Amino acid sequence: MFFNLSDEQLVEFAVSRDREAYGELMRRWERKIFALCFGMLGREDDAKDAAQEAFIAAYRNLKNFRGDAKVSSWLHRIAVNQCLTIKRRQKTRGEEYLSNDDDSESRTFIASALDSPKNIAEQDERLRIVRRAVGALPTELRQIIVMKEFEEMTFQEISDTLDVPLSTVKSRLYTALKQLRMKLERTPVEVV
Amino acid sequence: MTEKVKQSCEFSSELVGYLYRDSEDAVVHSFERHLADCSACIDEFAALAHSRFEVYEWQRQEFAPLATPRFEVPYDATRIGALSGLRAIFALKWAVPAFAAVAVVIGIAFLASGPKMESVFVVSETTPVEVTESNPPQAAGLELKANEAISTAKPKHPGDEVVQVARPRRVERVVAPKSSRVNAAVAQLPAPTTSRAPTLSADVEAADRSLRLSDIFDSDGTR
Repeated sequence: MFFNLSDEQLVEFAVSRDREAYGELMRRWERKIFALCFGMLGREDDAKDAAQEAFIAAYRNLKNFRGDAKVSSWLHRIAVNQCLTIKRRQKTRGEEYLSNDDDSESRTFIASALDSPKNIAEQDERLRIVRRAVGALPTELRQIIVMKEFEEMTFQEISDTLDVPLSTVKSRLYTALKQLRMKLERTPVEVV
Repeated sequence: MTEKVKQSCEFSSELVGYLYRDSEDAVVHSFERHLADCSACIDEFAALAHSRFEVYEWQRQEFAPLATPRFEVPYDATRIGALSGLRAIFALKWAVPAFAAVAVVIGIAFLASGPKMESVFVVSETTPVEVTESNPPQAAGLELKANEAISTAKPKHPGDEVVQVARPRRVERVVAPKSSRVNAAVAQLPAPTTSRAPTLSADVEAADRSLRLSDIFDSDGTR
């Protein structure tokens, strides 16, 4: 029912406590918000906690969404703030994790289980798309992605290996990620 | 309240470094403070983080589970041949320019010095030999001692004299008795030159000896 609605319309429905509408919103953005949290925190467990907290915080603040920015931007900002909060907490507590608030109401918003056949098929399709997208990148950009993600080299090491300035390495990686994003957006995951 | 969204942000260059945690701590902290207030950077960071995450997942699910294969090199059966060794040397970045530079230097040195060949002929005291241009030392039956430097060539017998003979493209020394007619004949030959400009062919030069400066000097007696 909510599949064809825009994000803003979903928010309007969710404001009136329509859980299905908010569930659909979560399904659309959960991966990207998780990716954002992973990018900020660097660890999957921390990223999961941060994304969870972000969606809870967003649900609590639905009525504060004024529509002057995109829903995605609004969710991003909430996620970033959650990540920064977690980082500050970890810093003061010496890398301890968040306390487990067993809020049963919040748990109902967790998306479908990751190991369902549909999710596995989606995952395989996504990997295939990513593999093709990376393969379609120009060599000099693909090189940087592989060195960073597969070989886990630092920017300085990549700079020394390829004999290019450090700024060029960062610039190429930025361009590579932007091009990847465009390719991935053009090829949505479709599971038959 | 309207948000001011900057199209391009001065901190955007720090996005990638922050995303990969490959920045100095001070830069990380200042970027985080900025990120809390800049919507443009938040959206940009989210986009990059998503792309990065997809690659990370791909690496984690397709590559990371692969067992590292064991590679074995049959060292005994594998020998590095001379050709492979040469290829390895020339594969170095500096090798080709270095060899080219050395070749150029050697070539310039060779051209600048000019070819020299010094021969020492020994003439017996009892065998007078007339050496002229048309009757070179070798044809005159003189013993040729090749490739001896001028400074080291010494008369074998006290009465012998070491004489330099100019030849086309060559300087030769003839060791001959003082009293022999060789000296007179030799004196008529052009004076030796230690260096000579490259010529087209020895035949041309031999045919037209008037081109030589030494000839000019000898003919007008200025030498």
